[in-house]
Amino acid sequence: MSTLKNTWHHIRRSPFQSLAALTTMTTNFILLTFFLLLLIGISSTLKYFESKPEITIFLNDDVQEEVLKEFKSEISSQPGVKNLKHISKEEALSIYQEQNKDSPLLLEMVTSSILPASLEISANTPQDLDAIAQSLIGKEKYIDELVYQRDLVQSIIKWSNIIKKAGLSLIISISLVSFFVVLVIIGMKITLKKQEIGVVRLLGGSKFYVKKPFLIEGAFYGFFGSLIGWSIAFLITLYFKNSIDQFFGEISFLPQNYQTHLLILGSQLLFGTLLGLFGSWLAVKRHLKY
Amino acid sequence: MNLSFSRVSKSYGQIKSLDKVSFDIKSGEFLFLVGPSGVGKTTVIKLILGAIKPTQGEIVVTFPKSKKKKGGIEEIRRLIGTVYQDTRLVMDKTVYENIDLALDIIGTPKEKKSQMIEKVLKKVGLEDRSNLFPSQLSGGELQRTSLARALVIKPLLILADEPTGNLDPESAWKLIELLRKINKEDKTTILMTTHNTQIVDSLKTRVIRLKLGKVEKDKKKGKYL
Repeated sequence: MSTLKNTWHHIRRSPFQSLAALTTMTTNFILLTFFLLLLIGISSTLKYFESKPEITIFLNDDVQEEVLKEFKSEISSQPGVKNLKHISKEEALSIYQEQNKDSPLLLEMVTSSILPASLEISANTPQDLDAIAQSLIGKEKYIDELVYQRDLVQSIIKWSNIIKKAGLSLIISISLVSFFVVLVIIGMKITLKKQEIGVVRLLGGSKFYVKKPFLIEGAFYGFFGSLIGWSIAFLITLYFKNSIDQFFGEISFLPQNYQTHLLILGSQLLFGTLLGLFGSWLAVKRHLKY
Repeated sequence: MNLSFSRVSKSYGQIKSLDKVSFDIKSGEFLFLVGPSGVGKTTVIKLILGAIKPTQGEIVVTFPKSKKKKGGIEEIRRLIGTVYQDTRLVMDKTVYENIDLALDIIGTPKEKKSQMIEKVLKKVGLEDRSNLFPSQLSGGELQRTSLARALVIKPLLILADEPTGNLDPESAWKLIELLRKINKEDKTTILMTTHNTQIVDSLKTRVIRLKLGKVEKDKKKGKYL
């Protein structure tokens, strides 16, 4: 009887214990896959905003044309400024109408007079934004409100850090649960098979011969748990891909190539197998007394 | 395979199970180890199998050159077949799988296994029981399965620890006849512990009688008493 056949024999003879181990592992890896996809999404979002360094200045209504010209040339002369665009009140209204074309109620009361004109400044690098922002200090008489992209980026970084910490804690907790489930179940199986282990040793089976099927069983739970977990998460992601892509627009929140998905699968298979193997190794070390 | 016990003692705490026991077993011998319960018969078997270590003395196992082994106790166990009163079969494996287990442990190639198992099943008369589980067999059939598992590895020595203890007289005799046949045809050394006076007296073979952990009697064509 080969080792694999022996391992399969162990799994088949106590199906509910095996199912418990496999289910826990699968749940762990569904969550892990979603967590990794979320991290990739956040990273893409950050990159997107960082690649578009921008300051938007909403102008006061009383700024005269001459003064505005002077203000624009003052900004344009800044070394880090890549592009400066003036959005008039009429253009602002067009943008607003385009954004709300499906909600006629929102369009009814709005005229160009209530929307502010604005200046959109693109910088060469995110670092240039700071210098440009500094140069605007003291110009409050022209400025109604200043929207600084860095605030948004920092806000995303702050939230991504919170999500990373919460996600990592969740994954560590569930991985620990999976590890202990494998440890307990393999331990129970060893206890149940004490008589058989005794017979194998009596017939000249080495210690490794006895250990091998239990170690492989742990690795089996990890390998197939991660494979099934990833597959479920991948199918769910695939199902909602269009909606997610639509929601995020220009941002590629989900990985657009299959290599990234396969990389996630490969690393999870490795992690799962090692997790299961470690759990069963500890169970064998603790429960197998020859 | 020759076996030599030289002034072997074994104590469990204050209790002395064996006390300076010495005897030799030569290759191809059939001998009985007899004596009342608790006299140390099973301890002798356990010592030969390396399941326990002697407190004092030395046990020397000499292999024929062709079977010379470098390894430890596991290698020695793979040359010894064991038959116990409680059979020690794996209950959730079939007769076939139980025998296959012994072959798997000694590393027999897959393609040779089925032929070897069929041959040994025929030898013990269990050809039609190969797919049954131990719980579906009679006492005699269980012992013959246990013997088949011992025989399939072509052992140099068979240790039978009270194999007839749970059997009716007819099944017990069938088993003894089988052991005799194996001893004669394959020249396999057989050491059997028993309480069965009739069997020991009628076989007229070597008998070692233990009393209070010591060898009381060692006769070539001995009787139980």
